[in-house]
Amino acid sequence: MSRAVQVLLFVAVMLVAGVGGYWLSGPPRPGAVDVGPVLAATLPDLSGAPQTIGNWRGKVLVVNFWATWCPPCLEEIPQFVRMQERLGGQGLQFIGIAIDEPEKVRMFAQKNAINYPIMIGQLDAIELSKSAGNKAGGLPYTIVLDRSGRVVSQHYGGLNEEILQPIFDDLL
Amino acid sequence: MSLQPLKILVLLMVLVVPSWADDEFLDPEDAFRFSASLVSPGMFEVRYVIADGYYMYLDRFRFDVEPRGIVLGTPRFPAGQWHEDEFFGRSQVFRGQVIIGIPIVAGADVSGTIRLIAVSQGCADAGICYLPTEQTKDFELIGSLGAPSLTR
Repeated sequence: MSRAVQVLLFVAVMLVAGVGGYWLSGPPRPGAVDVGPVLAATLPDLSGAPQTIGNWRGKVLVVNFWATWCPPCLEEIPQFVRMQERLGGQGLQFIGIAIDEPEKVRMFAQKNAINYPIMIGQLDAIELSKSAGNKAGGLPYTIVLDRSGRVVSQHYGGLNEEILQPIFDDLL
Repeated sequence: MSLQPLKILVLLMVLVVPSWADDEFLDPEDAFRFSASLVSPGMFEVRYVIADGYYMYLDRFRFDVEPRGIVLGTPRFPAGQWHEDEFFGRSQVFRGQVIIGIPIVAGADVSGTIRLIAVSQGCADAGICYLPTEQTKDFELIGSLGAPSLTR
């Protein structure tokens, strides 16, 4: 094998390794998420009434796991409220799943005029977030589902309008 | 330059493995590595080794012990670092490592296993917070807790 071929082969292998490494290390791939348990889940809302997440199927769903003791969670919620207000009419639906004490969640939701459904859970909601791909169990954790219920995006940590808008542009 | 398969494999590992590791958030058990010991007949010592880029909140530690006849005193924390955010204001947090003394203020005749239960909560600078995590350590004791023989 000539030296030039060896060098070309080396470059090709490095490219494959780099791309492969990026692919392996990037955000969890949506295909790895089993969204069935999320859509099937029934949790109490702020009034205590049971709500099944799958009832909102057919809309572009943003399912956000959060808690009032989690500063990055609280930072993103006002932006969710704005986006729900602006894009709700086009079929966008945020859903919050709070892993927290109901009274604290109610107070925060009232103070921040949250305009989308909030459900409350404990161990069941933790397991739900893990089934939705939240391996480390950190918050906030958010998944975006298209109108057919397929997960198109997963996010650890805080989100903002700049990140979400391009995703919604493709889905709404 | 001779590129043998082994060299290529090594280069692949160098490229791939760090990129995988860097982008993942640690599991809480790895971000906040817990250990505990009974340093004297009347004192537990709990240690957390905290990964770089992670921190733990002072006011979110909780400790308990089983069986219920044993009573723990107020935990003794070292001074933390001040951490500020727009929602909770100033809070004390720990980075790197924290060692917490937990006095036993009322013992009990114990022969067998006692379990120390530690609940903690922390966050990553990269922008996630972990759910409160419970970790436990079992001690095998013979005699009363005031002067136990630690067998394990």
